[in-house]
Amino acid sequence: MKKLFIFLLLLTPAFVFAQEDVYFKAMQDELSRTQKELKIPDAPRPYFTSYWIKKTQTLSYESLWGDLTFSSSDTIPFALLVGRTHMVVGNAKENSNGFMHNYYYFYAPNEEFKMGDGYDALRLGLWNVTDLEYREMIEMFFQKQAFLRQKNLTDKSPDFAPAKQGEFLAPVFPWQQPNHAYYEDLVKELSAVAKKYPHLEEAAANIHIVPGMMWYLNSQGGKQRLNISWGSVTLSAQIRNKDGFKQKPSTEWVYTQGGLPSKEELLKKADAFYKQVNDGYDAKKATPYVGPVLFKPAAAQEMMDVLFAANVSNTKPLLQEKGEDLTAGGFKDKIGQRVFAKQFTVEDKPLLQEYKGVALAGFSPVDAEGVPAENLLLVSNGKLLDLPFSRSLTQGRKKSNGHARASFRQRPRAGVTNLFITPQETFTQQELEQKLLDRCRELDLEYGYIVESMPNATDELPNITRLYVKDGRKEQVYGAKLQNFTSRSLRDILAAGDDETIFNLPEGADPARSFIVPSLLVDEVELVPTGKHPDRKPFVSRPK
Amino acid sequence: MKKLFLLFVLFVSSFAGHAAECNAQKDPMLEILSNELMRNFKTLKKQKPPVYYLSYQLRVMKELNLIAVAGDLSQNTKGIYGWLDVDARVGSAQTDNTHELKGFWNKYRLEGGVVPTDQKSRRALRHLLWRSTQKAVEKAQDDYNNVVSNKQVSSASLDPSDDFVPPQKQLFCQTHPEITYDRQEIANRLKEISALVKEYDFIDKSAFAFSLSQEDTFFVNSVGSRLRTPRILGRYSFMIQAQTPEGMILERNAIYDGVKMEDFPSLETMKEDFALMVQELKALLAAPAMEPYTGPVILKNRASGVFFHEILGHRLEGHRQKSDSFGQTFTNRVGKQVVSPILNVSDNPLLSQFQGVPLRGYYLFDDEGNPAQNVTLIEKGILKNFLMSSSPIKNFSQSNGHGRKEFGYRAVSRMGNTIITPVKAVSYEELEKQLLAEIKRQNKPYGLIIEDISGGFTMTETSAPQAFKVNPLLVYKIYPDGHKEIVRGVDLVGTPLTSFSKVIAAADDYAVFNGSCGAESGWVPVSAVSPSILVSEMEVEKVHKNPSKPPILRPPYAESSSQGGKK
Repeated sequence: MKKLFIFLLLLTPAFVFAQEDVYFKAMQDELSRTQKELKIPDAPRPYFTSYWIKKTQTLSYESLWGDLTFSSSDTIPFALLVGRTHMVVGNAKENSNGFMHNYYYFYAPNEEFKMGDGYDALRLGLWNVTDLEYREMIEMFFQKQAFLRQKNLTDKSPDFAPAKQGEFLAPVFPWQQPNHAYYEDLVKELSAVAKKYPHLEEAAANIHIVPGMMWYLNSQGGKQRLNISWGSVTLSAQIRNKDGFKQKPSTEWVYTQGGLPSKEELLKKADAFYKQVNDGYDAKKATPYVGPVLFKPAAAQEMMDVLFAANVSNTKPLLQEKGEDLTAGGFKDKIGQRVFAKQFTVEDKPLLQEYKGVALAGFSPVDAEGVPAENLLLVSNGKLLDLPFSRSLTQGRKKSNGHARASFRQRPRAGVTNLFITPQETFTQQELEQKLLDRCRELDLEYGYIVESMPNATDELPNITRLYVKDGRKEQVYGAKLQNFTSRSLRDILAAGDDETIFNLPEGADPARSFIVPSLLVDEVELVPTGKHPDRKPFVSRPK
Repeated sequence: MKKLFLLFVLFVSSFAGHAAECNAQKDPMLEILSNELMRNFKTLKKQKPPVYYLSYQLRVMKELNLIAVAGDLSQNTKGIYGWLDVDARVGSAQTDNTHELKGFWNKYRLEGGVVPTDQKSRRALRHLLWRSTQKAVEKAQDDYNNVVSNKQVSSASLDPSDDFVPPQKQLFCQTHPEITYDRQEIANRLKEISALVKEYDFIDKSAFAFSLSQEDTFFVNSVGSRLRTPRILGRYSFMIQAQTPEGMILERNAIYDGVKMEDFPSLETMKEDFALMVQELKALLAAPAMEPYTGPVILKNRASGVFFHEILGHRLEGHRQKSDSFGQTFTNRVGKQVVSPILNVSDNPLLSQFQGVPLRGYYLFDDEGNPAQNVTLIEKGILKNFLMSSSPIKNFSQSNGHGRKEFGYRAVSRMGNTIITPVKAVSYEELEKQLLAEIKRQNKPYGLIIEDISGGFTMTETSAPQAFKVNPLLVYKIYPDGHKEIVRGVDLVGTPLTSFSKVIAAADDYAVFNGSCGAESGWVPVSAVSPSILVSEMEVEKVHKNPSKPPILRPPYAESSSQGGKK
């Protein structure tokens, strides 16, 4: 398969890294000053300070109906350089970590600081974020101590245990002027594919190319430099089906450092997407259903994120004055219990840089607290064996396993990196569909469902199909959403496909992660119709 | 509570020269917009309820932004963006979807969005026009239905004027050749000046920016208007900040507006200005904090411009006389004395520059397609007129070209270039003498000279006191013997009618304040031209205290022996 190694073509003069790593130097110098001199009388000093600097550039190309609507060629892009810090004040036993003020909604760091690209400007930015962070951590420290005195908690496990530190330095890559003309043509061709589909009211395509590097350094010796480059193709279309319901599904394909696939491959995928949306014109309205559902890989990925990754992450709840930590994973006390269908193994592999030739977004050999990461066998034969841990430990835990994760909008907490869902036995798509029909027959159901994609497990499912028992006929359905979709479904998985697929999720609100997951046939899933009403028809016909 | 802000901190200045005429009937972008508008309007006017007026405004903006901090660039971006606004009016001019819904503020946003900037993307552009029109009409019909039902249960408005007076058909087309800037030279200049902060360890924050916006605005409507107008706004802006030990934040800044490179001062002049900023900031840090005070005050020219804009200008905006939500300070006072008889006030958007300084409130047509007009608002203290958009009010049935807005908003009446001209002016030196005489006459220990103002706000709703607050940046006490002392921590407060009746003299030292003004219709570029004025009595109060302490460690460059660490 022909691939375009786009990031090697992205050299901009303003974006070439110096041979001497000025970023680490600025971080180290400000870090030394912070640890040595930063102090408010009668308040605890910094016990641990870490800095991140992220340098990215976003190139965007957008089209509508084959016409270019935006191009980064109209811009002279400039790297966005942002820095942030995570600090722990106090000491290993009594510190500010793992506590949330009652007047904060999120366990989030101070806002990232946009910095100038030079030694003095970098230090100025780091100084600014450090000052803000130190004040906040002192308040956090005193509030946490007061909280602990009042609550008489029995769990005395450390919130920031000492840990060995690691180092990983990815090579700095040179970037070149992007080939704007290529991406402009590509994005135009992608949305132009939709012109042949008569029911589409709108068809748009976006390409984002985001070369980037991230530097991490802490006061205990942890150090990391990572290539965080990614690119994506997003397609969206709008249709008003024959019942008058307007739908605007979209699909996004993310590619890490390897680059975008060939134009031919993307055009083929675009055609399949627009055709599927167009075919939705005749879709039937959903009715209540309880029974087996086949989740194709794109839907299975979201299922694994919501039902598994969320439950094994953040298993030590934050201490907070009001309410409970709703972000805490539910599998905290389930070690040794069956949480998954018996035939599955689940592993989290932060040390795996690429899989089947594809760079993995979750690659993170040193975690967000400087700890060398370990590959984890989380589930074997359906039983939960282990959990990701940061330096914030629960009772019985001796040390971090290097799974502290943090996005630029989160403080470090335990989470997953490259999550592999591996069945002992796999089936072809045809076999899986046959299993779905067989199970429907056993349950005396007229049809079963196939969910192609699931951008969000709580929203309307944009792409679902009924598979009829009687004749194997397929029929698109609209207006359905999941109900009572809980981790129980993980134990109800009947079979998996041989279509293992890699999904790379770049950093957003959550840290960058990868899911490697096949199609999953789940025995009992509840689908209910949404309460949407038909939309108004356009007053005026669409321009030709 | 809604506040109206005027800030320094924006880019820009306007221009007039070098523009070239074009043909409104043949301009390709106007042609696309007009054809799609008419195609839609033909059907929409037959709907129930009907669309009786439709307009499209498309703004193409080419922007250049550079920011330097401590000798390095933190931003260096150039972009081109297109934004479409669709104004659909449903019902009739007498009562339409924009009619005030009692108790709601929902009418100031327009449907629209990002559009291609190149008419070559004709299909995408037409599609977006069609889609945005559909959304705009759906919303307008919903709003209109709400208006109709709301009217059934609401008390009658005090002003029964129509909701809209459609503009006359206008054809106008003007372009401006794109101005090219030496980006590297700008970057070098910013880096060089921003690096100077490294010599001063009391400067906690600083930013040195250049911004350029080159706009092309295309406007078409259902009465057949086709307008294309350019605007170029360029600005260097510098800011340095320090914090006193008790947490008060102090700031000095410098702003240079221009259109072409040669409009801006030399690097050496900028460096001299920077040195003065540093000197003033250092003096402010050492200055005593001001206590609450009432007494005579001189508002220096630029500060006076802000003062008039905030306190008087917003209260002369037409729509505020109509809405029962506003205080209507001047609504029933046309023909009566409303301010000191020594003052004339006008608003003239047609003025592109004043004494060589570009005015950013310059425009030829407002955002509703009405030609801009020079409006005499106050003559010898007597109220003559209001700033009018296409929303008529009692006794003022026509627009005078002051319907303005930021993209994404619906236009309301706003200021352009507000000009204050005293009936009788003295030299500034004489004005200070008069201040000293006033101090003695009132037996006050000192008076104040407000040298510079960052901005301010005024409240115009009935739900809040009809008061204002203005935030001075640089203030001097002046004692009866004439000696001056810098002070900090002062806000000017008061009520409009009282304050303007106490203007007792004005100087002839006109100066321009170029800023951006925020209100219901978003941010718009404005200017105020004013001389220094003497007010016999004003009140000052302490500024809000910042609860944070200053940074614990000094800036990193202050510790480098080779770089300075001077204090």
